[in-house]
Amino acid sequence: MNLSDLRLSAVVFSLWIWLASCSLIEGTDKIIAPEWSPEVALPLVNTHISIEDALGLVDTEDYLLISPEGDLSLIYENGLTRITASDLALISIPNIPVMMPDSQVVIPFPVAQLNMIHLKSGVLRFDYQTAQTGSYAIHLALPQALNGGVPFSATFPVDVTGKGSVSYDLKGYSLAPAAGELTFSATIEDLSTGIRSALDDAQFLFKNLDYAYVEGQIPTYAYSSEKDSIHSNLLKGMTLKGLRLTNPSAKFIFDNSFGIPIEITALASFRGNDGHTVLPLGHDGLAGGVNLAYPALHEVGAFQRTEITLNQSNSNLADIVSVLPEYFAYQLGIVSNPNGNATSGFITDSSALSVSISAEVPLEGELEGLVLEETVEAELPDMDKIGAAGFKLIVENALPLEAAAQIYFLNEYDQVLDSLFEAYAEILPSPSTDVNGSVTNAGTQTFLLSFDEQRLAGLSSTQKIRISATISTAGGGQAPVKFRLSDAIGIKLGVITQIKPQ
Amino acid sequence: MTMDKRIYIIICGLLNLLPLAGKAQQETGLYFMPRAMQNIQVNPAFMQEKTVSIGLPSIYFHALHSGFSYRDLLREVPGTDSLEVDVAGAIASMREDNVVRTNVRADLLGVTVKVGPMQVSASAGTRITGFVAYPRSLAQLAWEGNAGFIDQEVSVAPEFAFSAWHEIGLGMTFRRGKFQAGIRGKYLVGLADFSVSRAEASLTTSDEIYQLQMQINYQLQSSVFDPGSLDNPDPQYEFRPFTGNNGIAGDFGLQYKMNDKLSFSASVIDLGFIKWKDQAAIHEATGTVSFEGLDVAEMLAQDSFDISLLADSLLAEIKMRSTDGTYQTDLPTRIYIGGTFSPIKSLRLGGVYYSEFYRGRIFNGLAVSASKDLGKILTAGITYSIQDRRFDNLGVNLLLKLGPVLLYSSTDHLSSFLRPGYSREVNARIGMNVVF
Repeated sequence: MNLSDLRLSAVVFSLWIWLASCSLIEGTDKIIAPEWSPEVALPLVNTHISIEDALGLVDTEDYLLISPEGDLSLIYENGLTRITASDLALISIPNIPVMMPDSQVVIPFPVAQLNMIHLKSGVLRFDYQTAQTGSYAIHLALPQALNGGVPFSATFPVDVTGKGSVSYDLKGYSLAPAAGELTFSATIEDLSTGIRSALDDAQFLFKNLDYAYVEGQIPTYAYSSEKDSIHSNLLKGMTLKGLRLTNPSAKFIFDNSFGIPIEITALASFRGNDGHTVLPLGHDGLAGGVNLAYPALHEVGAFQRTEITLNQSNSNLADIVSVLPEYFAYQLGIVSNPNGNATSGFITDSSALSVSISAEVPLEGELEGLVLEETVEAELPDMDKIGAAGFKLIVENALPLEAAAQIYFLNEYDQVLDSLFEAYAEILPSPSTDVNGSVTNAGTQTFLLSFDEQRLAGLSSTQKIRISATISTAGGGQAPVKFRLSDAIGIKLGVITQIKPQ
Repeated sequence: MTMDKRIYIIICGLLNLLPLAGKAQQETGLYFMPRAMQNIQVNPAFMQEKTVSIGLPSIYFHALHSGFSYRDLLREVPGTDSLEVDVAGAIASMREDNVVRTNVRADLLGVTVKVGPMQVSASAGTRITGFVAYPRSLAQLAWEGNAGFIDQEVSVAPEFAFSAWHEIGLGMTFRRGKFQAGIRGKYLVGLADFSVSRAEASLTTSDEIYQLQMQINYQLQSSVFDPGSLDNPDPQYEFRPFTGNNGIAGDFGLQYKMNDKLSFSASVIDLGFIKWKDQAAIHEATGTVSFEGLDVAEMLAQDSFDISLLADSLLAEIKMRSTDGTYQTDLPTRIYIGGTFSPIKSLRLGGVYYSEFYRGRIFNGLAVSASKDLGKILTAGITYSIQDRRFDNLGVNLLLKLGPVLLYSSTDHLSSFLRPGYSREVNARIGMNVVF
């Protein structure tokens, strides 16, 4: 080893060490952190909801009818009124005074056509006022009044002291007038002599007679119910161009337990949700009078039902539906035994006539241009973390409807800040339907909604959202469609958004 | 200094430990250092000049990140003296498949004894390898989000392998005429392993409403190191100098010396495997997770909705299981084909082509070298290599002979010292031999 070799070696190794000790990072105190702002694409909503699913969310038993085939009908049932025997006051038995007969008297029954009266109350009262003194026995008999098959008879002693009164309860007795008359006998025996006698100023009074059941020829009688009405706000604010339901129907249902012929008339009118269109219900039967079914003599206590069905062919129901009725007023007129028939009938103290209405609107028909507008309170989620967002909305509509809508974002003063779409958008694209109006192929619509940072910032003061929509049935409301349980709508929503650097 | 800056310094420091060049990761300088007995590590057919060479403890370190360099990540802010972390720039410089590799070879002792036409060698040392591969799309997804991958199935499967083993080698070299042949058998003792044997994961973002679907098919294997279960990671590791993991490997080499000036050589190195059975376990995670969006109708039908339950139900689609079981890993096998030419005695020119086969990937390189004996005690050489389509790899190697003591060092990536910020790979070897 010589010196030059050592020097060379030293130089080379020094260079080696210098290279190895080079600083790798300069100025690390001045490194600026990057801003992480990824652009993410995420699915937000992917849902499919059928009418059946939706019905599972609410209690629809009271207003929706589902056929075994899955066809849907809206139903409405409501009791309108209940008229009882006491309301009608068809039969009222006045008090019957009878002067002390000379052993027997025939009494005309006040309601001559009746041939059977089951009394639930009533008394036979004997009043006397006399100057005679002594002890007497009074013998009474009313052979046409039976209680358990036993004719009414009574004997009672009277110690005459000037005036007095004796009563007998007739509850439970059945009176059976013959040709409108009752035979009544009363005799007085002087107990001191055993000789038939008489009393001055003595009389009998059949008083407070009330029936549980009467039978016979019920008289003709007219009755009018109070006017009544039903009001609903459900359709308030809706407007439409046309509504043509395929087969709407409504039924007036009369349940009658009066055992007599009854004719009923109904006057009804509807007011549309525009507040001024009034349509009287047009139906010849109801306006001219309908004879109700009634129970026969052997059907006491039973109700007979009479249904008057209104449909498009026998009424103006379609016109009424088309005005979106929100008010229904009605008044009933009742005539008992309207033809004055001699046919025997009956009434009990519990006889009643119940009147109800049942409307059934199959969800089948044409709806054109139903306009809905609703404003709801809304507070949008915090948008601070989002730089910009592009939403992709796909609607797959297999409901037999089409709808165009706009959604407005409002501030607290109801001023429009922005709208979701540039113009009214077809949010429910029209599906294809077959000749029966059933959906065959869903309508699909895709929306691309872009919100840049400035636009998002403008939405920050949103306090309300106004939804304005125009709805028609599929095909522009020009062909009837049918709603079915399986009809559904699919909504898919995704977003591409730039996450703001935090 | 803020916490963020400290983190960046740590990151940059790690990146500087991994100056990055290409996928090739083998040292070429050693191939052109005939006086260092360690050259039998690249071809067991190489014979030493001296009768006896004793290799004292030495260290070789290599690190690679093919994705980007430090300077790809940091850029100067014009008009200031600040640097800005440019993640987008770093991603732009990535390739579709990026790897991070580290290799440490600590040679404890080595010896060669030459007797006539035969040379016997023995060595002992420890090797540590680390390997991580990740697709550029994974970095893009993490930094840019998935909006740029709509209607695409994007691979997001990182792959990794960490192993350490002892290596005890015994070799022989024979010379017959112009030919030299060498073979070296190695007994391996696996210290620990944690690696992925199957890595498939992809994210698909639908173009409809951006529904997400992630498919996962992973199999991990571990020995001695216990990562815990996949759904409840709890890494545990206790170093043990010896384990029940055994393996074997072989090095095979040929050299043909056409004359005193020209020779050719070829070798296959590390052809072998380790069978891991000590605390060995197989961990699997398979399944498909799909998020199609919230089913509002279903939510409305329920009394309440808990988003965490949704996450749980999605994750439940991933089936995870861990079972005890042995497995085997192959060593990174290399081949070298090269030659040297000595126009004069003190000058050697050479070239080598090499490939490495590891985890289904091939790492190639081509290097040329010139080394010169500068006097009797110093030998200096330079290498230039083309590695994975990068042409800026200049290396140096030095050998200092101080009597029987031989000091040596080498690197194939001088630029990682000169311009560390632009480098993606670094390697260095330093050691000392005693020769007689």
